[in-house]
Amino acid sequence: MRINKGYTLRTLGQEYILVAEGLETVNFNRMISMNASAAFLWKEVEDKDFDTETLVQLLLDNYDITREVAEKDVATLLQSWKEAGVVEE
Amino acid sequence: MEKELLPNEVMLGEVARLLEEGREVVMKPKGFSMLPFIRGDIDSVALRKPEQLKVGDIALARFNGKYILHRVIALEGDKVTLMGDGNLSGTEKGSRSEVFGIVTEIISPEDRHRKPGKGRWWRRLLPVRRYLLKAYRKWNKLVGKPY
Repeated sequence: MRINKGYTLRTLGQEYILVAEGLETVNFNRMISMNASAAFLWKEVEDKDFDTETLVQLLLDNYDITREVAEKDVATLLQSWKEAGVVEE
Repeated sequence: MEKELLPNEVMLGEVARLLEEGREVVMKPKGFSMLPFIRGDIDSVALRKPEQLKVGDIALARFNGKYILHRVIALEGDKVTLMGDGNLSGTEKGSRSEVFGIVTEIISPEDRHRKPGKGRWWRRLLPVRRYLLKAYRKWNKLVGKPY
């Protein structure tokens, strides 16, 4: 998988949001809010190929959670990223 | 009928900052106060920092700590008066430095882009606006549109 180009991660107050951003135009209609761990994963894989296991491993290395929880979180996250069209296979 | 036109304050702070940087911002306003020209939660608007603010421009401003997207109905020196096209009365007043952007395009969900007019006729029709808005709503209800 790869993350589509044209999105920028921005911090809004306490929140993280992904915004569709061209050189000129910033489009807030296509905006996805993310929590801190999702934002962390985004930054890690922003410009490389990755798979589900990459993300699970990143969570396990950086957060004190079980593999089961990590896998579940990653599955949910990937689903929302795919629905929003920010990642492609 | 009066409903908050815009989404959360934090996002609008970011919009204002980007406009200040000279970038174009596209966002979807909320509410009924710019009917019949902007349908909240349906149409999007493209915004830019104004080079020179004019009467008739649809302006994004922050007056008294509150963000609004309404039409400029009067300019006097530094003073700016705004009023929602979908409102029957009530204006908002502030200064030019509190206006961050003006609408350059209104974008429908079908991705049709149109330049906003100056609303001259609409402003002149204020005395009968109540009936026009009512007719507009009724018609849309009849044809099954959300507004």
